[in-house]
Amino acid sequence: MSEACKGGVRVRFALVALTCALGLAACGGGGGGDSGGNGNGGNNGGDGAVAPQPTPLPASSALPAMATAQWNETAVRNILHTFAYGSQASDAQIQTWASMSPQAAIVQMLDFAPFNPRLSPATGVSGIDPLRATGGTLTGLARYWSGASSPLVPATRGAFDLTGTWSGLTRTGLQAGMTPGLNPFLHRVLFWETNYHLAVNQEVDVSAAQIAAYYDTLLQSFAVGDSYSRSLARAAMSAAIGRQYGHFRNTYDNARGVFRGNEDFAREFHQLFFGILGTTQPEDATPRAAGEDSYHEVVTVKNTARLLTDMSEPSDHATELVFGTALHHQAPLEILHAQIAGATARDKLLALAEVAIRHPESEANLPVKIVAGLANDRLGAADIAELRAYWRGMGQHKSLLDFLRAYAISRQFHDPARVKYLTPLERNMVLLNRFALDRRESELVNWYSGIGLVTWEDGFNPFSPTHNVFGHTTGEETSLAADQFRTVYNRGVDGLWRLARVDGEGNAEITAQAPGWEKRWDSIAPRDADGSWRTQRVAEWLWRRFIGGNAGFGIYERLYVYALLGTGRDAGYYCTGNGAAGTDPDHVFTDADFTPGALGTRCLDTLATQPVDLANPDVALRKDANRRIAYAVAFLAALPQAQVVRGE
Amino acid sequence: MNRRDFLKLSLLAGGLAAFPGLIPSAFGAVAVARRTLVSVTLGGGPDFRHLFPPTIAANEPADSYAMRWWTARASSQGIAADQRNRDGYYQRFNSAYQALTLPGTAQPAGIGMLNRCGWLKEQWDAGHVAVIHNVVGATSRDHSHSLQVMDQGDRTSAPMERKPGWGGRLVTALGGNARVGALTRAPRPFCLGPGAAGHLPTADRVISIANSRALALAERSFLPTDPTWKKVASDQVLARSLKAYYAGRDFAADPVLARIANHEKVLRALSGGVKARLGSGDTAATGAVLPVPDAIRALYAASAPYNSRYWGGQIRNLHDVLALNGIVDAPVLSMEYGGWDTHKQQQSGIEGNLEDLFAKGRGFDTLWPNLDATSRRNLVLVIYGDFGRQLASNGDGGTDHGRGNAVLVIGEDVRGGLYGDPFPARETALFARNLNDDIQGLTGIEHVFGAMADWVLGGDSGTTVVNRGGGLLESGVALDRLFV
Repeated sequence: MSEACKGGVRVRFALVALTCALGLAACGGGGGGDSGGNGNGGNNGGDGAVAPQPTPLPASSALPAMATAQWNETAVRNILHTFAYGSQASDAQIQTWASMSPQAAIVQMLDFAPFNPRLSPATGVSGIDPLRATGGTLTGLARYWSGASSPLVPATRGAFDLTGTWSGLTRTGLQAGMTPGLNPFLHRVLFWETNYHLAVNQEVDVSAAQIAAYYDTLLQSFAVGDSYSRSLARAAMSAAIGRQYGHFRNTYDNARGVFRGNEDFAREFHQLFFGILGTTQPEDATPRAAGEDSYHEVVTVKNTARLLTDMSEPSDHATELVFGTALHHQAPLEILHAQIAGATARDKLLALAEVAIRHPESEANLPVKIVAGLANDRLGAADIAELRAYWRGMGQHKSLLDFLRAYAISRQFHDPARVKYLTPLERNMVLLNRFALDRRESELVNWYSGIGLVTWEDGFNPFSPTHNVFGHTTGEETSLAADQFRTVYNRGVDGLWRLARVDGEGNAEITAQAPGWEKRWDSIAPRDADGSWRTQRVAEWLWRRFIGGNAGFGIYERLYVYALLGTGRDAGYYCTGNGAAGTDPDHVFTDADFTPGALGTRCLDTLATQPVDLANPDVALRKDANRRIAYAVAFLAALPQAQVVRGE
Repeated sequence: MNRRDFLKLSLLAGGLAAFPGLIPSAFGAVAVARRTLVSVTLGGGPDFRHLFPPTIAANEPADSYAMRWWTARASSQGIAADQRNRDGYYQRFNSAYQALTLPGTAQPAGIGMLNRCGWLKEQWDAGHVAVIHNVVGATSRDHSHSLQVMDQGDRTSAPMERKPGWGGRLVTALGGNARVGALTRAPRPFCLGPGAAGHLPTADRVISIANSRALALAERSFLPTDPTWKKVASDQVLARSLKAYYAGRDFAADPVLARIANHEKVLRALSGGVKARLGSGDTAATGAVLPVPDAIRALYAASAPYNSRYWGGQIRNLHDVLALNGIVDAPVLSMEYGGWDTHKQQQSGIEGNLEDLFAKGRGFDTLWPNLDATSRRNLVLVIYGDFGRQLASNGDGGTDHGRGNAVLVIGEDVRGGLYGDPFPARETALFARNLNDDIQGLTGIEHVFGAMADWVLGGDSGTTVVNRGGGLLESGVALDRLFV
């Protein structure tokens, strides 16, 4: 057993012990040790069963929750789209959550367990889910998808190997966010942490295995309920961060009093991790002595650099650092006006994190950074004040999970003024999660391809953030980029093949991996009262499924979706004659077409009741009906509404 | 037939192609009809002192500024430990740098320039490079905040505060159809203009061109005589559905969606003119009417390092957007190059970056031959980053965050030379203090960006673009003389 996992046996939680027993990498990051937390909220039975109802989230006056009367299916879907890549939750589960109180529902919806069967059921898996043995970690998942028992075709498995091709980390990370049976909320948050807030970059000599171990360290820290300060400390002592900033080479000569190294992470530990710039508090901003720069610069940053010493890689690009004492600043260090003591950098980082988390700038900036990064591009002053009050009110033991839960059911989250433009990753994850109907489909990795959509087409390379440690492309940036729009739009035409396939005919890989596979939307699409599928009901359901709520599905959207679903043709072609003389395929519908009795209005009425025969015994007709769903989805995915989430 | 078309046809016919030496190097394919400012953001905090170090003499006195500077910067200069003495510094300077003279004179400027930056040296010697020293934006030494301050051109901006960018404000002041052309992956905050009262900054005056050779929206066409199956093929159906939807649906009432939907309108409006002027593809063989010059195309070839490829793509965009004169009215353009946060092994990292920007056969040098005389007079580059670095190198061969830095302004309309003291005497006593001492900011960014705005507008921009009231300005610096 590794040194890191020896630490794991002290952990109180069975989940972690299980992970260590399996020899997975989740015990890394040098954190180990006792958890100060209260667990992840517990949706996850150890054997894969769904655990009983966890304790509802306490009400908060600092961050007021929305009224129970307003809590409905749209609110639930809104949370799932924002925080869980849409999730794979069933319609029945969503309705169940909508019928509960927000405080009771949210603790089921959002938790940090590696598996959340309510949020992401392992649909289509019979017997024991093989993903359970992976611990849900990136390292474990990569080993599974690249290994001998992988469900993928042999030619594809190697692409998931973290030590093999460059894409192993990217593929595994994306697949983790879109595989039924895991926890898309957990991976959504971990992706943000490792690509935005606490970003590392595989383009700058941080290895894929180091990043995976780093990701898994945070995963484990969240899963066992560590305080956020402790999670940040564990991130700070990871090999990936050490390599990213180069402080794994830093040393301190205790005899001569000489520090050797750079101060990059000494500053970013405070600025990026905790939001402390040292500029607003007089005691930080004032020089210690005349002619010097500020206390923050001369004392806090410089002493933090001395703290970050003798934390070396035992071998080149090792996934865990070794914390020594000989080349470490052995005496306590004054940082943030506190004496930080400890035998090693690891000990001192754990102590420093507990001071930093209570710093006034951290308490002001960190909650804003989290919400701005995950959920809201339009935070107003009143929103920010509430977030800060809640965060500050958590005192020393700040729980990221409780904070996100409270925010997700808050009035401000559900306020229509909230806007979050989706990044290419978020947009594609929602699409893939809502389009793949079960585990088998989600593992058709060259077809429902995360890397194909996100990286190759959208140019968004996970774990290679465009702004290096300052984070990946934001949703705001994405919304401003015409090229991103062009990619999305053109995919609706040029990339239709990806969605429109309804069987494995003529494709050797699908035939080998999923013999007899046929896309069957009838398993989940809602029926009319007479048991049939008809355009209007199916279209509204698709809108909710892919866009998130009921709002915004107006006459224009309905007309084009109805035409695609009901006829497989475009509204211009169908409504103006459907091929008969005078048909005008290029007809552009405007408001005048939707007045009573006008062309658009009449056609909408006609199309609304068209059958969509998803279970027709005639194979050709059935496949055609299922293909038409793909056309509708391709259309929806190219709309502005699919590129943003907002309060309802 | 104009000269460009004649040359192109000649080349296609194989006439001049057989004798490449006869092809004029500057055939003026690109015409810049109005004053155009290119803002280049170097993310990470570029160490311009590495580009322009103090000259050092063979007999340099031990207590001189230059000697102390080179001693403090020996490791970030990549000088081996056993060469860290006067001879070693002198040798390094002479092998890696050229001493500059003040433009148009034989008078030593007291600074050197990295040899690898051949194009920049040519521009300097021609008197087209102004180096404005001791410029300061944010003082937090925080990347995000400092870049935000530079983008907004406002030293009073608080972290995460949403304000319009100074590029957006500049095109607003220009009025008419003027746009900020964002040649980057995504428009920087620099490009955003003022929103309506009480509203956030807007992208209404931004034109986003991340790849000037791939602007077309997917379309499908058919002939009336085509069989029905062809007319209702799924890709035809989707192409018509999307095109008609975006054409008919009015998003004006919903600014959140309108921002996205507006891309469709802009791309579709551009497509005809762009296709006529540039054609499709990068080369004549792939359908280009105006091929991307070979030297530019090489910058973003697959074999180039990634950062260089991204930069090379922006040079192509710059070439093309200037060539789209009359179709795209973008007198303010935005480019970026990251990777300047040189905490470790600075010498190898920063010099590669500088070469991408300023070497012969790279960066701007590949664009310049395509500009005619009028265009060169109408184009100015302003190059800056988050902040400068500390005076002394760290123990990892790099430099850590500082505050003050230089800003480079390049163009034929620029009065070249040094603005501000490149090596203030106060620094002499600070090199060895080990207290994170840095370049003191003496000139606020508002004065530099204000001068740029004045030039673009052709007169005093007052406070419409940046607020220069009460700003910092180094004694003796006259930025009203920055342009000829």
